[in-house]
Order: sequence, then structure tokens, then C-alpha cells
Amino acid sequence: MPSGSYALVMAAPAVKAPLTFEACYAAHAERVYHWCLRLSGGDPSWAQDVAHDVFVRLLEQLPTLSDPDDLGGWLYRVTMNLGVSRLRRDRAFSGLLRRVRRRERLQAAPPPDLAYERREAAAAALATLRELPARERAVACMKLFDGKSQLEIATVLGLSKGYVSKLVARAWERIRQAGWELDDVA
Amino acid sequence: MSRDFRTAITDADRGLEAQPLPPQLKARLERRARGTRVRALAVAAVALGLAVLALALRARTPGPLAGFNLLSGSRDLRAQLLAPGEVRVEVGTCTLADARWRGTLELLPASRVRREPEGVRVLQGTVRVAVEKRAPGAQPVRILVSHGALEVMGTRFQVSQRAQDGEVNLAEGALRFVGADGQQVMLSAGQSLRWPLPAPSPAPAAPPRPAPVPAPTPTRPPPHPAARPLGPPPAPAAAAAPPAEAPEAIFERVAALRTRSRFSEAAAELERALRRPDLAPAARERLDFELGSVLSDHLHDRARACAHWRAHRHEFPAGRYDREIDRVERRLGCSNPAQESLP
Repeated sequence: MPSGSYALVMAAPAVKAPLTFEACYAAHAERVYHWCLRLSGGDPSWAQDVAHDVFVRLLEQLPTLSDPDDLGGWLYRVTMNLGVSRLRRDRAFSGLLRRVRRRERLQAAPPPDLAYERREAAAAALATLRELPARERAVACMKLFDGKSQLEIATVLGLSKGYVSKLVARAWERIRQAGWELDDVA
Repeated sequence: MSRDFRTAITDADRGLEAQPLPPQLKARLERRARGTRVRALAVAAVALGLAVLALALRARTPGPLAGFNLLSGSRDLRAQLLAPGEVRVEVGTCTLADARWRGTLELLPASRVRREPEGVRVLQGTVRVAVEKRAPGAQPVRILVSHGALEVMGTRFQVSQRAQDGEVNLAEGALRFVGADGQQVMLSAGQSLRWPLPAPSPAPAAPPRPAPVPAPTPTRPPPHPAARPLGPPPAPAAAAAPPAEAPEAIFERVAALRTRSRFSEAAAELERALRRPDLAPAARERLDFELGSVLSDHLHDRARACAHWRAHRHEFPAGRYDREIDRVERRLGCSNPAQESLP
């Protein structure tokens, strides 16, 4: 989807000096929230928490950002890494009940405004995405939504390219095991 | 239902993209930003407090003070900078150094000094000065007082300056007091001097004065070769005596002897001078005081010194040096006359 692509973020108008937090928020908040929604598999509450953490990080580091012109890229990296950390934390025992409650809430949420069958499929795809482990989910989001190469994913997450390749393969395998058709990794 | 995951997830993403940004997110961030500002203010307040504390501590640690170097200060030191180069110690004591010479100035409570181009001026109170020995040919260190200046080449002394007068007590070495009127007085270790100096003694052409000390009763120890005579001076000899020597010349000669540690000769010189009938009372008093100082501080002849001071008090009942004599008598333990070898 072009509107959410990383390339578009990079091409977004740069925030000119003075780089204020208000200006950064106005320019990037919707995009960050959207990335968070993807990572969460459609959970607005979780997405809001992570987006909050991302902008708190920005609030703290804005005066010392090494490259303010690459703010979009910086936010993307921070969102993905904070999202993965949060997902992994949710995997812990303390997050078990929260996860169960969220699943119940998501099942009750209205599906996207599409034809019934496609709405059902979209909801099922998000449910499958939510079942992926943290890193596999992040890798799948970056690959499927943003069209990232494995090298780019490795750079963003600070992993080796080989490990990213393994994560992609595992994620694809899980998705296929859930009954989905998915073309091979490019 | 299509089972193509890429198509399904793209549809799902379109639905996610349609979800509006929750307004609570902005509200939460604004609260957080306010909290951050409060924290920043708290941190700034703590930093300010630490800075004030550091300044307070710095005031007690060595550093510059009115152009002087502050070497040390008492815990209760409270000093005030009155003008460039001028400092007043209100409470406590502090030790300063002047970068122009090697030595220290210890300011006692209620003292005030000022750094001036030609030296350090003691404006008020008591200051203890120590000057390291200057190289031969170097300019003397000048301590300025109300009625002149003290020129020192290396010595240790205490200066007290009051509103109308002042005094210096020399602990070691030698110094020269140069009065504002040009009078010069050499001081040696143990000597004191008050200013303003008395008016210069009358010219030698003045008529001879009567003997200053009638000495009705003997108050002196047994005769000493260099002792002051007790009876009337030998008046007839005055006619054959050489022209009277100015008291300042005597003082300088005595000071020179004292700086060479020739104290017996200095005492003899003073006793010889005291026999002169033409001495002004003020000069006589000073010479007599000098003699007592030599006996007390250098010859350490306690018996003679105590007797000398008693005679001095008798001769000069309201003398200029009473305070110094009190101090010396206390130090020597002269309070019990029975211990003294009076005839």
C-alpha cells in the first residue's frame, strides 16, 4: 500500500528548523499510529500505547537527533523496535490475561468496511498475523505492507540478514499452515 | 472466500488506515510533556541549589578575593568586598596573599585592607603580615598605614590601625617606618612603634634640659657597665661632650647592631645614649623602651628586664608603650617584685 510505504515516509516533506515536537507530531503521528496498528494486528489500544512510547522517545531525543531530516526513518525504526519489545513483553506470563482480553475485544470490533467475504478474510488475516511471534510479525509487516528487502529489515531491527531470512521463512510457513496461500518470498 | 493472504492483509490494512488517530494519544503526550517540563524544572532547581552550595563552599576554599589570593579562611569567615581591591573581614579570619610579593596577610576580625599600586594599605583593624626575605636590591614591600608606610625586606609583624593612630609590633627581622612627614624609624625584632610619631626633637642648639630622672629612690638593679645611671647626670662633662647626636641616628645604629645580633653592644649603646642630659623626654622614653626590649627579648636577662620596666614605669607614668610593657611583663612574669633583684 503506497500510503504506508517506507519510501513515501522518506519522501515526506522534511520538517524544517526549528524542529519542534508539535510539528513532528503533526507530520508523523498518523503514520506512526498506522504502523502500530499493523504490528498489533488491529488493536487500537495497543497501537496507541506504542505510538505514545514512540513520541515520548522523540520528546526525549529531539534535541539530540543526529539527522533531523531523516525523522521519518528514525520514527519507523523506533516504532518497529519498540513494537517488537512490547510484543515480546506481552508474551510474558503477566501479559497473558491482557492478551486474552484483547482477543475478545478484537473479535467484537467492527470489521473493515468491505464486502462481507472480504471483511471476513481481512479479519482472519489480521488474526493470523496476531498469532505470529513478535519478530516474525514485525518482519511480516515490513515485508508485506512496506515491501522491505531482507537487508533493510535487518538494518531496522538490528539483526543479521541470515536471521531475518529465517524469520521470514518461519512466518510464511506459519501463515501457510493457517490455510493461507502466500507467494514465495521475493 | 479468498484464501490469498496478501490480498486479505492488504484489505485489512486499508481498514486500519481508515482508523482515525485517537485524540487521547495527543492528550497523553501533552500530559507527559508537562510532566517532563516539571521534571526539567525540578532538575534545574536542584542544579541551582547545587550551584549555590558549590559557591558557598567555594567561599571557604582558596580563591581570588578582591585581587588578593585567598589562601585560607576560618569556618565562620564573613568578608565583604567594598571596592576593587578592598576587602573587609567582618567575622572570622582569613589569610591572603598579594601576587606582587611572597608572603601572607592574616586579617583578623573587623579588619580592612586595600590593594594599592604602591602596596597594601591597612585601613582598619589588626593584620598580621609575614614577608619572605626579599632578594638584595629588590624594592621593599610597603604596608601603608594612616601616617606613613612600613617598608620591609623580609619580616613578620602585626599592624593595628585605629581611626586616629596605629601601631606595629615586630616579631622578627627589621623594618623601617617612613612617616608621611619624612621621619624614618628603624625597628628591630621585639620592638613596637606607634603612629603618629611625636614631633621631631628640638634642634641641638636648644638650651640643655634638666636631668629627666631625679631618681629619688633606687629602682635599678646593681650597677652594670652598660646600665642607665641612677643619679643626676654628670653635668660638667656636658661642656666637653661632642655635639649631641640626633636620636634617629642612635636608633639606626642600635637597629643595625640588633640585626647583627650584637645585642649587648646595642644595650650598651642605648645606656650610653640615655646618659645624655639633652635628650627630649619622648626620645628618652623611646630609647628606654628599646633598652627594655633588648633586655627582655634578646639578652633574656629577666631580672634586669623586670627592674628596667619598673623603673621605666616610674619615670614615664603614662607612657606611650604601657600596653607593650604590660605584655612583656606578663610574659616575663614580672608581677612579683620580690623575685626581682632590686637592691
